[in-house]
Amino acid sequence: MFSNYLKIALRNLKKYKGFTLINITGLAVGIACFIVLSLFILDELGYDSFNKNADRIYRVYVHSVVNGIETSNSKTAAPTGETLLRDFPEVENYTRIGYFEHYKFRKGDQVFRESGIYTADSSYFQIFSLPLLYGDANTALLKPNSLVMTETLAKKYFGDENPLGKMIQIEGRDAFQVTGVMRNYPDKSHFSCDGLLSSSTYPITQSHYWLDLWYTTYILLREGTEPRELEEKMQKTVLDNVGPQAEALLGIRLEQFYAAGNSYGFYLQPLTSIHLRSQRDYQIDLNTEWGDIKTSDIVYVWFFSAVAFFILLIAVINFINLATARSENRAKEVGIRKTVGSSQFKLVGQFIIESVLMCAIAVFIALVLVELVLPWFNTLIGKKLDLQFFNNLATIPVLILFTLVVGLLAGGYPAFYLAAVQPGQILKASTGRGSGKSALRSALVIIQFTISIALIIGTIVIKKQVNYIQNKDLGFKKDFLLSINNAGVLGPRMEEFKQQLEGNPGIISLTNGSRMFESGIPGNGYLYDKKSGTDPVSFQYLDVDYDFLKTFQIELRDGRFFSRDFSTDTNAVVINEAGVKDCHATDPVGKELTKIGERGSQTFTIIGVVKDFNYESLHREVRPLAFHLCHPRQPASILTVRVASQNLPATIKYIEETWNRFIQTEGCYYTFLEQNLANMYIAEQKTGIVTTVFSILAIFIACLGLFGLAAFVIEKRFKEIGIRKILGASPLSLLGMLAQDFAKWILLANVIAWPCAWYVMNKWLQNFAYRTETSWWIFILATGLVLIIAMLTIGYQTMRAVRTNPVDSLHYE
Amino acid sequence: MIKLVDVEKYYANKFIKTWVLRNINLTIHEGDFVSIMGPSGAGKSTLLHIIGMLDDMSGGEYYFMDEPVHKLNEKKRTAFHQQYIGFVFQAYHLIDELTVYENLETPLLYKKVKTAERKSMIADMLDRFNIVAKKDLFPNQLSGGQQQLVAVARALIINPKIILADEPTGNLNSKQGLEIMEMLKQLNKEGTTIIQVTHDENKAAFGNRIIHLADGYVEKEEQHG
Repeated sequence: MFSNYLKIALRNLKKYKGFTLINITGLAVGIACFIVLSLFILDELGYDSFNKNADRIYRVYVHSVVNGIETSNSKTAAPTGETLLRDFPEVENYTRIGYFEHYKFRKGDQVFRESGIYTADSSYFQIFSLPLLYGDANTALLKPNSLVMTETLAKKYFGDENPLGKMIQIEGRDAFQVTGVMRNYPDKSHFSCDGLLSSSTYPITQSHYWLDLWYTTYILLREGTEPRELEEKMQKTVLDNVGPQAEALLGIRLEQFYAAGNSYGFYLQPLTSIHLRSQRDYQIDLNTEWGDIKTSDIVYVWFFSAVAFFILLIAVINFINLATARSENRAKEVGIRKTVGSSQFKLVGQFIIESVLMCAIAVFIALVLVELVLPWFNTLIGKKLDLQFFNNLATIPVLILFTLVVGLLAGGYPAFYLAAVQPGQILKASTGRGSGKSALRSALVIIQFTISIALIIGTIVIKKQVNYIQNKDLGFKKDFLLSINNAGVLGPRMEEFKQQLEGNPGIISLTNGSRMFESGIPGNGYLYDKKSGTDPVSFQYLDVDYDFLKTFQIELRDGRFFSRDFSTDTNAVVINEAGVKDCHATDPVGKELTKIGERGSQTFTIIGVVKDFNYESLHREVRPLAFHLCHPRQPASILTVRVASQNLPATIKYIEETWNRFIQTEGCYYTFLEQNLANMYIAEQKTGIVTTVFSILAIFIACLGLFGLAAFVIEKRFKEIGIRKILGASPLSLLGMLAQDFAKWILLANVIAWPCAWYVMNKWLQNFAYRTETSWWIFILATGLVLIIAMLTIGYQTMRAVRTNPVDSLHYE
Repeated sequence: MIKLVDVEKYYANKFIKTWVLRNINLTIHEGDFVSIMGPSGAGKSTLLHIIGMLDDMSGGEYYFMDEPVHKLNEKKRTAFHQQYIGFVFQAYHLIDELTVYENLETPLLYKKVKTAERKSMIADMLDRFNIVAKKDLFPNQLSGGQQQLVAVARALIINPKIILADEPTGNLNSKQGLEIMEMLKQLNKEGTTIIQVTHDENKAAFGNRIIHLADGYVEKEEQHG
């Protein structure tokens, strides 16, 4: 029996080549999209789950509301882990990650700057499941100056030999001893680095000061611990420890601080939530994360899941539509089979086998497509997606299951529809040919076009927002700015280097300041016009030199910027307009601003106000910013050079040559600032590209279905067209008549797609503090686009029918 | 063998009932050769389809070999199709995608006949109808008469108790038509019950009973031989 079904199926596929081609192409493209997006989504999920105890590891973060400003900091105070371990039996272990500086590693007569070395407590490998290739995981990070290298770093300095116990000479400080080599971090780790140095290398890591948030603290809870309960109990610990120190600093009791509407607490974030939910669910300030952290947003996972599902749905709908449309051709066979003794059940089986067979062919083609397209898609989105056929046992069973499920989904309805046919009706000698209309088919086409239109609207909105970001006036002139990112290595020779560059006519201005734009802008509490109080204002602060304003071309609003003419300017501060607003200051110039600090607060005189400029990503509003005239910390120091637009290559060559005279150990690592800015929106850009690609594919699949359906409907109305022509209908009126139904469907689809797309895209835009609008023309454009594409699709079929000699179509009957 | 009591059939279209068959009372015995006659639209084909359980009736009772068909489920009807009833249609109704051989094989597959037995049954049938040479051809490669021959062969292959033929010669030329009628006559002599629908007096005369239908009613019945 089965071979009989198979034979029929294959002969039918061959006989109706057009339908087969459309069906299988649509399904294959749809499935390929689904697989690629699934790989993308799977890659985003399951971060950090490689850790054996992933479900028991939590990161401690600090949540505070100060003066109405809410912040969550991913970093905690040095004594946090130790205190929690001591006070709470639920806490089994803890470890901290810290970062201090770049190191210059010596290898023979070469020196390399290593910026990816973090410090970790000796318990690090007890919490995270990162196997050591050499060395003892329990003791590797105990002694000061002990270094655990990743495989890659070890290879760089020691080649293939075992480096255990070897010394690495570090310029300007004690040598490190290699006490372990670890495997490189898995791709799915939120944190990764090149090497871990023992925390004990820096005595300050043993500090008992609670107000500097410098370390990420991870704790391992005992089995069965309820993290929410522990969180609640932790708050008293915070009060007991932070309280006295805050009191000494702010001059007020913590209770008073709370009474003023402020709050300050330590909370727990599950390890596995860090990659996708840090910002969305825990409002962690990205600025407080380590520079190498990999974070994304669960929203993109949802978004792409929806796209994957909808594209597959479009393809499945094509299948259902074409199958039911064709059912009249198959109905005769159903009738005959019933008269010779087939049960309805067997017929359903037969048609489902057919659809599963087709689906299997489509899946096979889809897999080939995926293999072809993945390298290209990977470069597009910067990932390493890979379809693992043989090194993952689940892949093949999942694909088979997928084939069955899609086959059932696509073939199920047509199968029952067909098998329910009453043979008596069909087998009568003269069967009237139907009009080819079906309510279900119309509804399904409307669904397809709803999805397509919504996807197009989404694509346009994302493009518009990305465009907006790229062209928004940031408050400074961003072109022709060059960032020398490793300027910190110049150290004391910075001024000399700057003078050398200033002599070149191609260089307009340059400034040495601390890092901006991406993460790592430090923040602090400041008091305006008083030395103690419950209402400190949270400012980010930058260490800059005299030429900052000139180089970035930022407008001054009030007072003046730092000047070489005033020797007192090291005690001065310049703030931005947002700072003025948050301090509720009316005439800030000349007033005092006090920076609250561990070793006593420092008071500065405000000498000027600059216009707000976007020194962080456009995801957030401009926050209060304070400028101090001082040398930035070495690792954060960036030399920004404004170059003339003429002779750019010569200028760059000059900078590099000068650099090489100053620094022999490493090259000048420079980037154009515009590129740095663009890097902040990579996620949006990728989303833009991915949605564009998949919207186009979605429309392609939907139109493929429309093409088939149009062919079918027109075939059904062939005779009618012939009669109308004889009666004198013009080709144009026939065209109108035939296009009418399709146009109606598409217009109806708009009614559904518009509000849905509007809602979702506005939600997405909420992610940006600065955003474009979902203008009305986007909707019109999307509709127009789909309408035109659809009309072109059916136009071909229609014209073919309209041009046919009426005699041919009537002769048929 | 077949007993129809007050069988009626109508199509309900919104508020209007369109009657196709009314008040049909009919008994057909084993070995009968019944011809159903009547003008276009009299309900001949519908009656045949109801007898063949291809169509539902709107009211009345129908006993097939003493089983109440009007109360039977789909499964049981399927079983009747597999064992007792063979169909021949005016438009032959062979499965276009299957060869002659495969068309003959299909009812046996549904009846779950073993492979070896199936092969010999098909071979016998091909022999008997003299179409061995055509066994690998598709229906559209055959003439009308040849297709109808295959259709009759397919109806007979399950060795049915009754053959229902809906204008079996309607699409054939007179020579071919006559051959098919002779064949049915021969089958009837061998004991198969036959019901045919026709509007050709000559063809109707092959039967021993002629039932005349008009506007859904049995108008009259003639008995022959």
